[in-house]
Formats: sequence, structure tokens, C-alpha cells
Amino acid sequence: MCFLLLSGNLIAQSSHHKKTFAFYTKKQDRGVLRKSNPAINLNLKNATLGQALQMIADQAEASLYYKTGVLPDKKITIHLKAVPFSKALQKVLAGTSLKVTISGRSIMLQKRQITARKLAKAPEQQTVSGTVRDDSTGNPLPGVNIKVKGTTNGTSSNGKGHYSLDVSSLQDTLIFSYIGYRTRTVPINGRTKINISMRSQTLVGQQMVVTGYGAAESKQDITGSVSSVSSKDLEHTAKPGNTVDMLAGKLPGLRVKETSGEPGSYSSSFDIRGFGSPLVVIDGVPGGDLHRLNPNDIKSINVIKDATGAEYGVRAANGVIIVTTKQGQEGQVHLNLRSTYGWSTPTSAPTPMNAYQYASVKDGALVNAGNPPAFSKKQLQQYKNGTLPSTNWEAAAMRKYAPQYQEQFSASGGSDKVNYFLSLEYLKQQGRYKSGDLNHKRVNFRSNVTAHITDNLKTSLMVSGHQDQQNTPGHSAYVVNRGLYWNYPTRPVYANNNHNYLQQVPDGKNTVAGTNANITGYSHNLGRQLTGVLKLNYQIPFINGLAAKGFYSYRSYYNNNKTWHPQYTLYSYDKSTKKYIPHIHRAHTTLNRYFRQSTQTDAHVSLNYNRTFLGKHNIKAFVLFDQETRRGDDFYGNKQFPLSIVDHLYAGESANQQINSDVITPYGDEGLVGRLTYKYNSKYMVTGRFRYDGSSKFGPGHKWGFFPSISVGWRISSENFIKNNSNLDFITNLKLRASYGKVGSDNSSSFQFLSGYSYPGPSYVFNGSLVKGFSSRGMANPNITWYTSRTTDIGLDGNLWNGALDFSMDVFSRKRTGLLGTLNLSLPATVGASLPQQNLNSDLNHGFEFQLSTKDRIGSAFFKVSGNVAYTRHKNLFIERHPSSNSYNNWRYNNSNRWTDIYWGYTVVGRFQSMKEIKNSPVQDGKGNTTLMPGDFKYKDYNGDGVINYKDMHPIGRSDTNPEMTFGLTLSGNWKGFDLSADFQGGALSNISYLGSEQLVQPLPFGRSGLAQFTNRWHHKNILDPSSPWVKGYYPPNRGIHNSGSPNYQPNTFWLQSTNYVRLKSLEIGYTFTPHVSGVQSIRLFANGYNIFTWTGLKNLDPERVGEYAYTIQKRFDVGVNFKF
Amino acid sequence: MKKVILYLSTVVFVGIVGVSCNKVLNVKPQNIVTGSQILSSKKSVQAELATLYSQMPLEDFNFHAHNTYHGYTNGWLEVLSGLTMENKDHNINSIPGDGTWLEWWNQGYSSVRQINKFIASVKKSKKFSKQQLDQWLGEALFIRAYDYFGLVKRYGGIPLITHVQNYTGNNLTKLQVPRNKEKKIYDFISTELDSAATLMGPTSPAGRANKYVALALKSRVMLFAASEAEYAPVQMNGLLGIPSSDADQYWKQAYNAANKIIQSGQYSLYDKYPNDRAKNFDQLFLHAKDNPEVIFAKYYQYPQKVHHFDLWRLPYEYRSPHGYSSDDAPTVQLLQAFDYKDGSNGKLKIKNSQGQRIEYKNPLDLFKNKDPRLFATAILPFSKWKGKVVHVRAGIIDNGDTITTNNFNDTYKGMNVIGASGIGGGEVSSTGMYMRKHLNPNYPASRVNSGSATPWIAFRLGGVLLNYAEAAAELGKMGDAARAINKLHARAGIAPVKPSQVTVNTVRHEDKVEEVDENKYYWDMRRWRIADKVLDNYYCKALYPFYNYQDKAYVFKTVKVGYSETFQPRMYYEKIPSGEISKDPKLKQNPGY
Repeated sequence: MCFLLLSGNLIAQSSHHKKTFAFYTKKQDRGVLRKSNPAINLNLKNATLGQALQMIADQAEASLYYKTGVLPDKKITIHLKAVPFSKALQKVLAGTSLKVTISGRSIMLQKRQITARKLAKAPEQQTVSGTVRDDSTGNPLPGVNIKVKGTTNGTSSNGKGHYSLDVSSLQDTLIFSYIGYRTRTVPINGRTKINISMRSQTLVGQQMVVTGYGAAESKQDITGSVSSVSSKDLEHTAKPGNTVDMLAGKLPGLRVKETSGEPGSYSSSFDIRGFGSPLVVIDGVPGGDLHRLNPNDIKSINVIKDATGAEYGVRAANGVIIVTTKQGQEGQVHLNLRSTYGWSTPTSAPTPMNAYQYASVKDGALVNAGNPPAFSKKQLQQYKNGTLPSTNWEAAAMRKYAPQYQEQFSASGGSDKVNYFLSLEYLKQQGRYKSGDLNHKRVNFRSNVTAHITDNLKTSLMVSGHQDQQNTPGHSAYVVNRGLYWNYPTRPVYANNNHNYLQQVPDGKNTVAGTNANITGYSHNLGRQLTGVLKLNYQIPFINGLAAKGFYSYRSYYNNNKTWHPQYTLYSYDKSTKKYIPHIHRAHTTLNRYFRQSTQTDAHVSLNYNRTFLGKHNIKAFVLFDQETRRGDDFYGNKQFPLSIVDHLYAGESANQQINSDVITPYGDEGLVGRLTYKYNSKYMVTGRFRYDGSSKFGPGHKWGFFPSISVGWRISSENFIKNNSNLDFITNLKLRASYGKVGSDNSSSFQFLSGYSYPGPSYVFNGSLVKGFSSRGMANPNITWYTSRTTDIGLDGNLWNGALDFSMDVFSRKRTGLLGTLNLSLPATVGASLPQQNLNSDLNHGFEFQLSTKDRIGSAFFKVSGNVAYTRHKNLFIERHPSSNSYNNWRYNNSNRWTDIYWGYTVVGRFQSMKEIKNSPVQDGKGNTTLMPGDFKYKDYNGDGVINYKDMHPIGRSDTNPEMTFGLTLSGNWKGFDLSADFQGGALSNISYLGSEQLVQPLPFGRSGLAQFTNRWHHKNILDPSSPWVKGYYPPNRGIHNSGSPNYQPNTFWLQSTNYVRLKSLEIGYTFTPHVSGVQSIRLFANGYNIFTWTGLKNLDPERVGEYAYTIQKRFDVGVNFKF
Repeated sequence: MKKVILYLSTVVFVGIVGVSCNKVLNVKPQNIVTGSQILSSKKSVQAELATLYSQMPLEDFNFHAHNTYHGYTNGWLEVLSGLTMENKDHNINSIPGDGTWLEWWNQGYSSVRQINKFIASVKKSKKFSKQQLDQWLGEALFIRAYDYFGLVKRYGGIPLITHVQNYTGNNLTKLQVPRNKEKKIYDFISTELDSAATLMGPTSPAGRANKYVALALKSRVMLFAASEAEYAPVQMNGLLGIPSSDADQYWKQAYNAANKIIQSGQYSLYDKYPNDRAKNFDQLFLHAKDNPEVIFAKYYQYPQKVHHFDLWRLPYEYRSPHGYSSDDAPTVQLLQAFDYKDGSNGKLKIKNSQGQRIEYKNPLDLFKNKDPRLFATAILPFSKWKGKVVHVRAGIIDNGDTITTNNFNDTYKGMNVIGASGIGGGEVSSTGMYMRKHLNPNYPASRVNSGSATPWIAFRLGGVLLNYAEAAAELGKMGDAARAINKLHARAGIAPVKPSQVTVNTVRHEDKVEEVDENKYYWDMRRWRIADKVLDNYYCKALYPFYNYQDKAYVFKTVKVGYSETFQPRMYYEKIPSGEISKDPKLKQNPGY
């Protein structure tokens, strides 16, 4: 209920006592102040001023802090009914020496006598002026109180942080004070201009956490497991183009993996606690695109990791990521312009062989297999000394650095009736290809406007969208990358080195041709998304603390894809005839068009009730009805072209043209959500939540599920034994919390409850015409329904020395039951149909997270360090399978009650050193060891039966390439306008097996070329002479082109590599200054890098990159400037 | 007032919930129809029949029996012709006799289930005329019989399921059925096909069954039953094998069924090119439409329903721009199986009586006077394909030196060392020959990658004549056998046989050359129980032509290629998938697995 909150920042100050009390609102950002006047109801008899103010605060959803003694010790009796907030304050404070004045964006409470300062001005007075800024951000601070020490003379800074004060002597001392900042005492020392910066003070409870359906809770009151980042944490992170990548390492429990560096691929994966794909909710709209979000629009990201996301029922089983975008603030207009220009280059990639390496490895392999060599001794010599040329395909097609460019603009501001936040972003990235035909462009816009229609009614319209286009040349990144390793270095790029004739290579995957759209064509992928959100917020005037809200969102996606694949010609040069022989590639010139359009609507209405009774009992109740629908439609067409000139469908032939569409099943979901929170004196907190959820995927009677959760919190630091113990006064906050809940998932295909037939099924030709058939759907399961996750989380949050040290730890487990499986294995095939999926299987995830941060100042340098570590592992509890016929089968194949990431293989105990050793060792190739040669892996006889076969395979590592353990470390600091932030990120406890790859286990796959690393292999001293002695190497000896049959290529400990790594993910250095140009608030110059250094033991691959042929992960470097007006 | 507001808001709230539930959650599937819609119109029945026909184990170009087909990219034909050693695949090595290669258990029973369902609803329907329903029922019985034939020839006796079984949650033991005796399955197929032949009319639209299609199947199935009785031992209490006393009645059934088709006069041997016997035999397989010889075929239609026979088998120099070619190659053994026109033994004249290699100025002279069917079955070295000579050279001999290379572009004294489709380069024939039967010269190279539409002929009169001849020979009616074979000889353009010369082996030899790459001969070797003698320890042989530079003539060498093949006696039956044995305790595994 975010807009039911009082969003103003109310400041009360008593200059006499130099003590303050304040209403801190639920806003994290100090600059976010807005007038809002929620209706206040009070019904008090003989209450203290403190109790009265507390009640106002509670109703306004603000927290109240003050030190005893500030308020006059007086009892009041007051009855107020739906009185606007500011009036209520005035009434409560009437008759005291405190007065409410509403000025600009802040509401100030001041002692009455201060106002007379102007009158006391003496004629000989002089003026001191200057600007007050935030020490860490450099932003000007409006509303700072400046006072001459020992007098009542004072002023406050204006919207630009500027102040001017008349003083009686330039030897006086000034006192600068501001809520949330440390007070500074500055002797004037004869100066007339004093610019100062103020350092913020951590105030516990200030940080707000947004949870389900916009509920905001102060961090100290939260009972669920939620990690948060705010705009501040992202501001100085390098922006690689994909917003998900910026989050790597920043949030404990959020695993981010960058799987490809291809511009516009947006393929990074992320999950929470290893649970699978989480629900992303952006401004209340489920299913948003976090990848393509403009990072400058983000106000906060909150990751709900436990069952407290149960309000989202159906999709909350994997956790929820809640993104809130920025809103304008009442007061001054802020304009922000940020431009960067940068370059990207691969992090690490294997090196292909040169011609000599290729020829010698090839000959060695042939000779080892008993075949004649392909290259003569003379040729080898010529390749070695350079008489014969060697081709570097990478250098021919790729550039070292690819440029990128990003422009971000935003404007925000508002009046007491309307506020707005507008933004625009443009991103352009180039790929590695010299041709420039791989590139990506994206435009984002956002307009968040809120209007206060009446005191009780507020409405917001938030419109946002993006369009992005990825252009790729005719060969995919996979094919191009494969070509870099496959293509023979002994062949030139151009036939006979004549640049008019590109050289023919096997399969036509000449890298220079493949990266050039003029030769091999292109694929243009355009995506567009438009989201509109309308919100209404009504403070019901007749019932204390009751508000109603309406929400409607409409999102449309649009995809337009055009793939043009013309025929192209490569050439070989026939020396005997001196002719170029053309080789035509692709059977036809074809054009594919694909259009898809889909819409999603989400509507909800809710009632929210929030009241505090007797000053200590706070109750919040919330009920919501939610409805979501998704619909889609698509269409695609394909034609063949007689000429490769005009790339439009109208130029194609109608013969063999194809049009089609996909089956897109509509989807609907409905839910009734409830939440009830009770807080006692901010010491004990309990929240119950439920969602009664219905999904269209299930059959009648099984659509609805009930998913409850409960969370409790105990703020230990509020107990007297801590509060009253002076030895423990370093404990600012300490809270124990626990949550337990059940959430559901409908992650199954639709209509499994229906039997009958699917149409169309297989087709058949009757009498010369094609007849589409029906395919039987087999047996249906009318009972198929939700699977459920039960998540338990216990956490401890602490804050020590008033924010100098902050920590949070969690242990969790998630047990899922009713996972879909089939009983198929126990039903004989003679029945002729497999059983449908049923809710049979179960699994378990568990782990922990720990987060620690500290901040301090050394001299004028301010720094902050925060680190986190998270661990998660996944286990099957029950997997349906047919009973094992013996104990070995049970051990080997029964996955119930077992970690899911066990990798089975052989242990390599060493290498065979000689033929004699091979002869005397247990048979491990099934053919009496006749296929083995020195340098081959010697496997451990695990079961000791004297033979090495599949029964000797045993768990040797982890099969999951996603790290079980992740770390993150963020350092930031600033000093005199300079700032620096660094993000380290890492992962541990994961493996990758090279066995699945073509290139990483052997050179010359499919008879093509390979990687240079394989020159370090066991080989004969004279590779052409199989009787010469063996020379040891890292890799086993190679033979022939088909190595797959050799025992060397069985799963084993040699090919299984650890992917542990730590990398300096982001580093940014900036310098901020204020130029003497009117209108310019500040200018920040900065430089940053992304993926700068990686520390890993993994050879030849980037630890995050999936697959040897994926587009390489990129290091990126940017320089930029940020103007604020 | 408070109460009114509360009440009003509750009404609004509940109203939204009530109104919208049904609409939002009850979304309609786009592509699912109910069982009752199947028998609602002739068109929908035709659609259902399309599926049933498509699931028949026709073992054609696209048929993949085994789920993973062991790396075979191109279907059944490749597997079966590889197994017979008629052809050698250039990638696949030896075939393990683990009994899983021809696995067709799950698919078979899945198809049987859908037919059982269809039969039940046809029997219940009153919406159509009896004649119409009979025709459909006959087709369904024919397809089910075909499915059971596919199962019984692989596994021997198997569970006979003729109704739709459903799992109710507690009837698992009822669904665990035992195997029936092999004889029972063959008898079932026999009577079902008799019913089908009675129910269906004598003609049908192309691609669908009729009376004679059912009889054609019957004549073939009965040869299998008779062979099992005649040549296979009875094992496992009759789950495998048939008592030999039944042999004659099955031979007779085969003889009678084939005879009915021959006597009907509805079909005749394809004889469109009487002056070019090779071309005639070649064209027979490319023209299934309006082809008087075709009894039943599976048709394809470009571009929606295609196969990729040509893509994988075109000679290297004719391959499509996408690549791929030369996948299976006929072997020397196959070449030698074709006799000479005059009826003499087909052994190739590579060496003279002194053991010296014969030099051929025209390399095609090696095949002079061979059975014309050979030239329509295989592309031979230096024969013409699409009007162009296919150059298949293994190398050049110059003054006793042999020059070879693995690079197509390499030249020696101005001459290409190996031909454009020659031996030694990558992705070329492993034997020096290419498959020709079913290969369609009318497809441009650019087209073959998108697929071929050459039909698959499942039953033709030529095959029925062979069924007839075999049954007759087994029954001692050598005159009938000779008459049938001589019809084929006359069409092929080779010398007739005399009834006095005819033996069972005469018919078997005719099977081998007439039906190459029609996926019959492998099964024939199994049912005759000769596979373990013929195929075990067997190497395919390649034919390497070398050019003698001085003599300007060719000599030929035969070379063993690949690995030795194995055929163990247990391979006469496939292995029942081991998962099935553990799921159904009443199932007994075949011996040796």
C-alpha cells in the first residue's frame, strides 16, 4: 500500500534543547519528500503528548523517534475525526512552545521565539553564505538549520542547499544541523563564504523494505527474509547493458550468471537460493523484464526469499523480486543527463591452433591410429618456419575492441498536487565482428505521474516501455565461434589470396563470410514492450485507518523477426586449371518473417486497514482480489527466392511458401489475498498471510489452492535487559525472525486433465492430398493440481554502533511436494499409453546466507564495505521410478534422497607409462586393453573386481555448473569529490565437465581443426614415427578423428573441472564538482569497467560462460559524464 | 454510514470475484478435440485414419524404430540395408547384437491402443452406412494386423491386446499381461486379415487399404509363420516357434492369398520401357502413381511431408549446397549377387585365370552383361547419373607406384588423383558405389535438402509373385514357382529358369536381387534362420578402381571395409525392453538376453 503511506518528511526541532524528534517516513531516500495529508483520527483522554504524536505517526504509517525531555510534560485530551495530518499536529501541539510551519517540502516544528531573529539584527552585522551538501553524494541539502552558536540567530538552506546568514562577528561559530546527519560546529574564522558537507547518520528503521503488493515495512520491523538494494547501490555500478548483470553479488541469495557476452542476447540467468526462475514484479505488474529495465529508473529492488511472498501464491514458489521505480518529488525540478562511451573485449577464450600445430597434431593422430600421415615431413617444416602460411581466422573476422554508447536522461519534480518522474534511455552496443553486422540498440522510456485529486484520493498513471533490436549476420554466434576453432588454419581466408573469392571451407562456415550480412544475410529481431499502470488510492474518510485501492495494468509484447538467408558462394582454387571453383551454400535463398503479439492484464482491488490501539498495539489488515490473464497470437511465413536481391516477401516465389502459427494457450489466474499484522510495541511482530489461488491450468475441482504463511519477529534490542544495560548500548537493533509457509506452483502444461485428441497430429497422404491426423492424448489425469513448496526461514538482523556495523543472517529450507512425475515406469507398455503426469515427487533445497556491512569515515574520506556469502544445495527427496532389480542398480540409479548434482565418473589415478603397464593393468576398454596407449588415463578399480567398467563409476564431483556457494563484496568510498566503488563477485562448489564439448576434450573434432592447448599432449618424439619414444604431455595421445570410443572419453576426474572463481565485476571511479554555471548543479566525470579481473583455476573457459561456442563474456570499459541540473 | 460503505464495498468485491472466475479460469484449449468428435464426419474419420496409417511399421525411408536409433540419422532403410550387408554406411561401425536395434515395443502397443479405440467406436457407430463402416473397420483390422506383424516378427509370441486398457488406480496386476504363443499371434493376424479382406472393397484411393492390400499382407505374414514352423525350434513352451506340423498349412495360406491377387488381374508388372530394362526397373520405384504394379504404397508430398533419402545418398559431387552425401554404399557382395543376363554366376571378372588383374580400357566393361537390374540398383564407378559420369577413382598407378590422396583437388600429371566422388576423400562412398534404387534424378541439388517425395512401395506385384514362388517351391510346386520367377526375369531382361532347375534357393536368390533396399531381405534371412551363418564374421567389401597411367586402363581391387559383423543366434528375436520385464512380472524375456 505504498501510496497510503505518509510520504512527507516531518521535522521537528527544538533549538533550545539541541534535541530533536522527528517523523521519519518510510522512504529510504532523503531527497524524497512530499506533502501528503492523510486523515487522522484521535480519541484520547489524559494522554501524554508523546502518546498523541505516536498515534498520529502510526496512522500516517510513520515512525516516531525522540529523546525524552524534548516535549513539554503535559497531558492532553483530544478528539479528532478525519482531520488532515498537519492540522492534527497543530492541534496536538497547540499551547506548547512548538509551532508547525509548512515550508516548501518539509514540515518544520520550531520554537516560537526563533522567528524573531530578523528584528535582533544589528547594523554592523556581516553576512556569511555558502552551500551545504551531502558528503557522500555531493547533492545539495535543502532545509539544513544553521545557527550562530549561543544565540537564537539562525536560518535554513534553500532548495539548492544555499544559505546566507547575518552574523554579528566573523569570529562567531556556526552550527549546522539536519535530521539524519551529524551536527557540525564550524568556526567562521573571518570567512564570508563557507561551503560545507554533512555526513549522514544511519538511523535505524529508516530503510524501507517493499514486500507483496506494495506493502512497505521498515527494515527493523520486517519478519520475512528480504534483501534490498536501492538506487544508491546501483548508481556507481558499471552498466553493461543488461540490468540483471548489475545485480551480480549485490544481494545475498540472488545468483546471477552471465552466460553470453553477445550484445542484445540478454541471456544472463538469475535465481533466488537456487530455486529456479523467480517472479519479477515491477511496480506491481508481475512478469516484468528485469533484463531490459533502465537501471536509472530503479528506486529499489527487494528480493523476497522466503514464504512471505505467499501473497503471490501461484508464482511465489521460487521467490519474488520486487522492483519499484522512481517517483517525482514535490519541489524542485531535477534534470539528470548521463552519457557513457565504452569498449568491450573478451575475458578469456581458448586459442585455436596455427597451421603448424594443426598439421603436427593431425599427423600425430593419424600415425597413432595406424594411418599414413596427411602432411609430409617437408610440409610440417614449411609450416613451422612460415614458408607455408597460417591463417588466424579470429584476426580476420574479429576486432579487438567493440564500442558501446549509452545515454540516459531523466526529469523529476512536482507540486503539492502533481508529481512526475520522466526518463529516457538509449543504448547502442556493437559486437566483435569487424563487419559491424552484429549490434544491438535499445530505447527505454518511462513516465510516472501521480496526482492528488482530493485530500483523500490519489491516482497514478505509470507508462513505460522499451524497444530493442538485435541485428546478427547470417551465421549465429554459435556457428561463428565454432568456425574460429573448426576452420583449418592451413586454408586461406580468400582462395588463392584473391580478395574477390572467399575460400571454401567445410560446411561453408567461412568466418569472414558468416560475420558479414552482405554475404550470408542477417537476422533482425525487434522486441517491443509497453506497460501502462493505473492506480487509484482512496482514504476512506468514515473509518479510521481504512483505505481502498484499485490497480489495473495492461502490458503488450510485440516481436518482429526477419531472417534473410541468401545463397552465397565460396571458392576453391584449382591450381591445375588456374580456375576458381564456386561452391554454392544454402539450397535456396529464403526469407522468414515472424510476428508475435501477446498481452497481459493484471487487475486488483484491495482494502487496507491500519490502526494503533492504546499506543502499543498496532494492527494492519489487508485483503485483495487479484486477476491476471495472458493471451497471445503469432504468425510466421517463409518463402524461397529466385534472386538474392530484394529481401521482401513480395519478391519471393509462391511455390513452397509456408505460413503457420503456434499453439498459444491462454492463461488465467485469480487469487484472494489476505494479510494480517500485529505488532506489540515494535517488540513482538507477527504477520499471517494467505492466498486462495485459482489457475486455469487445472481441471474442474482442482483449480483452487490455499497457501498460507506466517512470520514472527522479536526485537531483542527493545527488551529491557539490553536497553537498560550500558555495556550493551552498542546494540542499536537486534531482531530474531522466523517464517514458515506454503506456496504453490502451477508450473505444468495446460489441459493435462483432458483426454481426447490433439489436432493436428501426424499427417498422411491419401490420394495425392495431405491429410492431417489426430494424435491421441493418452490417459488424462483429472486430478492434476498444484505442487506446493513449504519454506522455512530463520534469520537474525543486527545493527551495532548506530549503523557502523550491520549484519543479517538466514538459514532456510524449502521442501516441495507434489512435483510432477509419471507413474509410467510401473505401467506396462502393452497398455499403449503412458500415464499422465501426477503430483508425485518431492525435493528439498537448503542453505544459508550471511551479510555484513560497515561504514566509517577516516578524515574526510568516507567508505562503506559490505559483503555477503550464500550457500544452497538441492536434493531429491522422492523420485518415482520402477523398483531397482538389485542393490547396484539402486545405488546407481535411485535418485531419491540424494543430492541432485552428483556427477558420476571414474577416478583417474594416473597415466599409463608404457605398453607393459597397459598389459599388466586391469582391462578397462572391454577389449583386453588392446586399444590403449601410453598417456591414456588409468582408472581406479573402484569396486575392486579386477575389471574396469561402468560399475566402477562413482560420485566424483558436482554436475551443476551453477555455484552452490556465491559471494559478493562491495567497496565504496569518497573523498573530496572523488568516489570509488568496486564490486567483487564469485562462486564456488560447482563443476563443469569438458566431456560434453566438441573442442575441449580433443583436438580435431569431426576432422576439423582445434585448440592450441592440445599440442601439450602425449606424442611420439618423432610424430611420424610410431616407434619413437613417447613424450609426456598434459592431454592423452590423440588418434584418428573419432576419439569417442576410447575410455579416455568416459566421465572422469580429469575432464571434470572446478568453476570456482572470484571476479572484479565492476569498478567505477568518479569525480564530482560544481561548475560556476548557473543551472548546473553538479558534474560528475567517471570511468568504469565491468568483468575486469577474474581469478579462477578453470582453464580455457570463462567460469560463467555456458558452452564453448557461446559468444565470449566481455570485459567492458566506459568513460562518462553525468550532469545534474 | 460506515456499514453502508462496508456493505457496498463487499458487494462490489464479491461481485468481481463471482463474475470473473468462470471467464478467467475456464480458458478453452485451441487444439484438443474429444473422442466423440472423431466419428462425427467422414473427414474426421479420415483424419483419424491418417494417424493410424502413419503409425504402421512400414519400415520406409522415415521409419525410426529405436528411440535413439544409435546415431542413425536416416531411418530404417539405412539400418536394415546395413544389416543385410547389401550396403555399407560410411560412419557406422559394427552393429551390436544386443537385441535393441530394431526395438518397436512401445510404439507398437501405443499404435494398437489407438486402433483398438477406433475399432470400438466404429463398431458402436450408427451414423454411417454399413458399407462405409465396414470399409473403415476393414482398414482398422488391416492396420492392427500390420502392427502385430511388426511385433511378432521381432519378438515372437507377444501379449495380444484387442481392447482399450485403462489404469483405474488399482488394476495394475490386471494390466500385467503374459505373452501369447507365437502361433496364436500368427493365427490372429491370419483371421483378422481374412475379415479385413471381406469387409473392404477391391479398390481404394491411393495410400489406403483394400481387399488385395490385406491379401498381400497376408501372403507375406504367412511366409513368416510357415518359416517359423519349418526352420525355427519351438522354445519357451511355444512362446517362440511354431510346431513344424503347421508349416504346410501356412505355406498354403501364403500361396492362396498371393494367388488370389495374381488371379484378380487388377495388377500387372511395370513395363513402360521395354527397350531399356535397366531404366524400366529404375522408373518402377519413382512412379508409384498410376503404376499398375503397386498394390500399396506410402506417399509423400513436398514440402509438408518429405523424407531425406536423396540428401544422404547422393554421390558426393551431386550433393546439395548444405552438404551431406554418400551415406550408404552398395557392397561388392551385392554386386556379385546379380547374375549375368545369360543366367551365369555373377562373380566379377577382376582377375584372369592366372590371378592377374584384368585391365579395362572402359571401366564399365567390368559389369558388361550383368543383370540390368544391377544398373538400376547401384550407381557403379564411371556409370552415368543425371547424364554425367560419376568419377570414382581410388588412385593412379604410375610405374608401379600408387598415388592416392584425401584431397579432391590434388592432381597428378594434370589428372585428378581421385574422382570427383572418389574414394579417400571425406564424406564419400566407403565402397566406391552409390545407392541408386529410389534415388530420384529429377530433384535439383538445391532441392534435396528440403526433402524428397519419392513414395515408398510397401507391396507390389513383383513381391507378391515372389511370395507365391516361395510358397509354391516349399510346397513342391516347382512349375508354379518357375512361372512366377520367369515373369520377373522377363521383365528384368534375363534368361528364364526351367522348372527342373528351380529349388527353394532359386526363389531366395531372386528375392535378394529383386528386392534390394526394400527392407525385406534382412527379415527373410532371419526367418530362414540363415543369418547366423551368412552374416556372422562378415566383412563388407569395397571396389577400388585404379588408373594405370602407362596402360591408360583400369584395374580393380576389392578391399575389406569396416569391422567384421556379428550375428548371434539370439538375434533371431529381439530383446524385450528390460524395463518392461521388470514392470510386468508375467513377461518372460527371450533367450540369450
